[in-house]
Amino acid sequence: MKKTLLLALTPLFFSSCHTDFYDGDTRTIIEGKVLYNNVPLREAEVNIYPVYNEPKSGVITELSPEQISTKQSAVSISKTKTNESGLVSVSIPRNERTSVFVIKIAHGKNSKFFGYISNYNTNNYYVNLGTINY
Amino acid sequence: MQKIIFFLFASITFASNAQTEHKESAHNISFVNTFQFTIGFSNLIPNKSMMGEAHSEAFPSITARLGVFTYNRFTIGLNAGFHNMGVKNMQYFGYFDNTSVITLGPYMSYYQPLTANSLFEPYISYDYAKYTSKYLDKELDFESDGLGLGIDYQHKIGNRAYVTFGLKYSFNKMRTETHPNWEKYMNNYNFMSVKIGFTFSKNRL
Repeated sequence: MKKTLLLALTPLFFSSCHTDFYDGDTRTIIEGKVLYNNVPLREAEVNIYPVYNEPKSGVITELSPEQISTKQSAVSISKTKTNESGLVSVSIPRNERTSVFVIKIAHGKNSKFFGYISNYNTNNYYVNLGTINY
Repeated sequence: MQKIIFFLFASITFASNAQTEHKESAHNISFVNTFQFTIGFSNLIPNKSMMGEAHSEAFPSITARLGVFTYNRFTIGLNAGFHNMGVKNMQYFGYFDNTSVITLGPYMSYYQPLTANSLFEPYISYDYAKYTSKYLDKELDFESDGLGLGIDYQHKIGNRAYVTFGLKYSFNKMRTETHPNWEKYMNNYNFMSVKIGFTFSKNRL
């Protein structure tokens, strides 16, 4: 009986390990502008992913995918598009395991990662990404 | 909002003047004598807020309430509800597919006979709400505190049974800390709900 119960509960245990849990007790606003050849990048898809890196500063730079420490099935917490002026504005709830995030900007078939959003550049639940040159 | 509050008070005043008191209901104390079960729509005409703009109308919205203590025409009890809403705008809310909402809290009502077979029952409620949003391998949990102002129209269809139509406006304050400039948009969430169902009650009409 115990073995049956254990077998039955094992898939539940593993499935819960893959779930990203968020808590809406805080929401951080993230805003910035995306340029491409000094022109606002319109309608670019912007995704924000939780990661497990430990940044040393709050400077936002381009990252190679190899630099990013994420779990196997990373799912973005926020998905939006830049507006006509290349502006991006989103909010993200608190991730229960990490406070570090990266931004993925996709334009056409290409995409680039930028980071890190962390406690270093979060002030009173607000992050100003500044201008990102895609 | 002011129009809704005015409408509620106007309805109560109208109902109060429309009927004379029923002597048999005077000074009547009872316990657990009212139960209501309804189904309807929720998250209707929400205000400009993160929650309101992110979610579509909710159907079905299921509510139930139990009158625990009744004195004359006043009732104090518990109300509970459940509804599920699709996420239609992810920009500020996040990348989720749907949000389920469970509400629970006390309410206080006063019923006023309108005709021999019908009555109005305005009420006020505190609504604690627990929200759960999901999509793919993500789950988001959050909470709010709400004030509900509602009015039911009940028409007697049996000895103790009433068919019920209801309208409610909810003022919710999300339990979320955020940047002060975004506080109002993130935390103030108001919406209307409508319902139809049945109320079972003794000693009303």
